[in-house]
Amino acid sequence: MIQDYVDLDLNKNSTQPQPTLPTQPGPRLPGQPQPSTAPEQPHQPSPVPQGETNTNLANLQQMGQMELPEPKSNIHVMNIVGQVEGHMVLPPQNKTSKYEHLIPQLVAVEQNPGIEGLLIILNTVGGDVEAGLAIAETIASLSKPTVSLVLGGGHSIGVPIAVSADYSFISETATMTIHPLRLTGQVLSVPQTYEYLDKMQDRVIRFVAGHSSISEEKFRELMFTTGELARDIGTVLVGRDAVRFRLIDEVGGVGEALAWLNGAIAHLKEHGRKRRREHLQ
Amino acid sequence: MILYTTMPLETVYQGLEDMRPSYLEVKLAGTMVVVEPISLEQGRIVRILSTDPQDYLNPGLQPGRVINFVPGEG
Repeated sequence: MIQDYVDLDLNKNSTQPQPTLPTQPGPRLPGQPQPSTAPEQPHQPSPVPQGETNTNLANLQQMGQMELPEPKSNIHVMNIVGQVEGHMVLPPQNKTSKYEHLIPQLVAVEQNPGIEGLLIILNTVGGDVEAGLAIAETIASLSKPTVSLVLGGGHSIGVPIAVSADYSFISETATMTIHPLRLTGQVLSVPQTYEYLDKMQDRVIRFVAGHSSISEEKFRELMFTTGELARDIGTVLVGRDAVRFRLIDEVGGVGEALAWLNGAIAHLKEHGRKRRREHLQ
Repeated sequence: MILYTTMPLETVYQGLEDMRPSYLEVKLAGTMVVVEPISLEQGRIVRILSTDPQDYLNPGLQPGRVINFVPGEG
């Protein structure tokens, strides 16, 4: 029955396996007799992640515990793909980056002493304004060095996320689309509708201008450019254009981004403060 | 909710009305997770319900991971 689950938390107080425990038998073949050392485990009562046969699995089966992974690298990478998903679960044809998972991960990155820097890789078509701004604000508030890299595309709400890092890179062929917000659902044809939309738009514009070297006026101008997009108003910035408008700091790839991040980590250790863009210092 | 995206909204929302997701809350190795059953025996982790930020970096609890349900004693 689906409803019957085993709470594996029975051995919560014993985090380390006792040395006297029998060693875990290898993968059990169907039909093989149960080893006499563990007759009390007829069914291996544990939700088992598929395809893993290592000591963690043995630990999980015996103790109902998963050891917290030791961070192997001093930097973490956060991949923001597809739609940035906010308050609504989107239909499954959308590939989404989920806000409720990314935010606590950012908290963990900030809190975990083993993590010294964060690389954010973006290939997103945009998404929920609130969720996107929340992620961007959280990245901007981290005390550890952060660098972003736009690969493929960083459109719409991906723009504030890209500029929220301490320093930003864009690959040569990546694009960023800057366009006005639109309303969905019930739209009342009253002046307040426009004012509300304008207010929402201003949040995005102010954040981008505040965290990059582009001015509010210039970003607004790019947002309302006509004649560039076939089905919309706005601008597409390809690689170098984003740098030319000082929205993104540099054209580069993973190598440049990691080199910058390592430099920023060293800078933080040496000077006790973050390396920032020149105009923000 | 405002979506700020280059994707046409009809593409994003396509199939929304037919979506009937069902979720279960399961305790996996001491941490509550929301699981979407994909069969009688298996479910896919959707999200983590924990106040410990390090749980969100645990590879064993990452959303998308398939776990096996096993009948409990109860």
